Amino acid sequence: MTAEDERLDELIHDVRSKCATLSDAATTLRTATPEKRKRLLALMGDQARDVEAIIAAFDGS
Amino acid sequence: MPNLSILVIEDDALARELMADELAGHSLDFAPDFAAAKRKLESSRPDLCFIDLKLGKGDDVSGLKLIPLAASRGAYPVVMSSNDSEPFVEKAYALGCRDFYSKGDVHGNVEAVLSRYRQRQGKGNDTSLFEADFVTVDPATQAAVGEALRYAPSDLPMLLLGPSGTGKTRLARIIHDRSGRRGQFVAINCASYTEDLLESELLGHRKGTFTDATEDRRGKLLLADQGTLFLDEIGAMSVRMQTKLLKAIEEKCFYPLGSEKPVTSSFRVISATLEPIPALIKSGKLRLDFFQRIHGLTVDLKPLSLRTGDIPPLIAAMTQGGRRLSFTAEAKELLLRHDWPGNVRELKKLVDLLAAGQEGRVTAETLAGLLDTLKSQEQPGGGFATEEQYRHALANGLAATIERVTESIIKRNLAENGGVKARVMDDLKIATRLLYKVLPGAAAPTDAKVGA
Repeated sequence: MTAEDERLDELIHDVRSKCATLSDAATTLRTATPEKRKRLLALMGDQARDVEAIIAAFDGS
Repeated sequence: MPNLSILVIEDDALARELMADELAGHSLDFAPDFAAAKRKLESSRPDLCFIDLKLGKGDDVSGLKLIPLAASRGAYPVVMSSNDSEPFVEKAYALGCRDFYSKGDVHGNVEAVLSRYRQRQGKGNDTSLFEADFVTVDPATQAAVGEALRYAPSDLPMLLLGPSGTGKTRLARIIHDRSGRRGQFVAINCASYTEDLLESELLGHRKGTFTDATEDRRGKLLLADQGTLFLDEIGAMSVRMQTKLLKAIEEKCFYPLGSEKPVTSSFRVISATLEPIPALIKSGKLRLDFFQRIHGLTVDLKPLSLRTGDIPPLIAAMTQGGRRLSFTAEAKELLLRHDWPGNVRELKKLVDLLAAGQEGRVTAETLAGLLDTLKSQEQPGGGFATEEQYRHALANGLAATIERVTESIIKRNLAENGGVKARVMDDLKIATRLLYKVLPGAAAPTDAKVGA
């Protein structure tokens, strides 16, 4: 496996993992209390920015 | 489900938040990285441990290294990861993971894991365990057995202590059966072999290694590959053999006798002894490093005389599906008063004798006679004669003792048969002449028919 393959594998893993969690969190919003909803949305925002940063890092390297 | 102690090892803050929701109501702890997880596992014993494999950016799936640690702490290791390709899944299970799910649908996955865990625990602690597999109503014994079974799925070595007949082999077998190991349960009693024979039994040998080695033979170590090796009476093993075995356990590799080719075998070791460990170490019979390698968890089984409450359920279990026995109040009292030097094994022998006897209703007299017989079998040399009989023979000659024993057996059988002499002759396969010699007060019959 080349270094490029390894980087791509890591990208696939990170995006899958973070998006799976984002999707779960979005599902949870339906029954969340307003306070919980606020906290979840904040964490989801952070998560989305992480995904963006991971993609940018892969693209820029 | 009762409140569980759960450790979640997860670097993703959002995932931790979701896990906290799913596992609300349980005693939860979180570790965001490898170091914190290691620290927490080394200082606690969670029931379940959820492990993410990749812990942080650029991390080399360090979660894998935490699986055996979690298992060795008695936890049920669950991997939740997007590193779910076949090699990762295979490796995780090989390391001791009990459940693996791919990230996504956290609600459904956590619910399914808890359900499987509940089923597994149900099997591990179901009432059949203490009502059939290891019969005991004694809280301390139940706790000791329960603790041992908690570590059944791990590789943790175990040392079972307790007098002969307390159920050490049975417990070792139950631990193996509930370990999930695909290999065999292989037991060996170290006291049954000379040093050379034990070495050959454990390591195996090549054809021609010694005079009787007419063919290659696999040793117990190899037979126990992926399974459990139960070493009974470990104190009887020579120090030289302990050294060899220690090496084989640590390196998972050894040389059969006469072979220059190493053989690999990975097995879990459960040892047992009825001797006090400190004395064995102090006398040099047990190497300290060997002891340290085999005593991961020590389970102490109490003698039957200290858990007499177990006697009635044990008898009920031993006669299940066969002839049931009923004891008079005096007989029950005698059962509880007896010191049971042979423990459960002695009780089993007694029940077998009673079940094969004439009466289902057991009197104190019958019981006392059988307990005496069993006691005599525990004498040095496994003798059939009791100490009293032996002393009597020394003082009065063998013929006089045999005569007395004969009389005692005939009279007892006569009592058990309600005085029907024909049944006595039938039961004991004796002639009329002997019966009337022993019972001189009884009139000899005038014909061949002998009635009550």
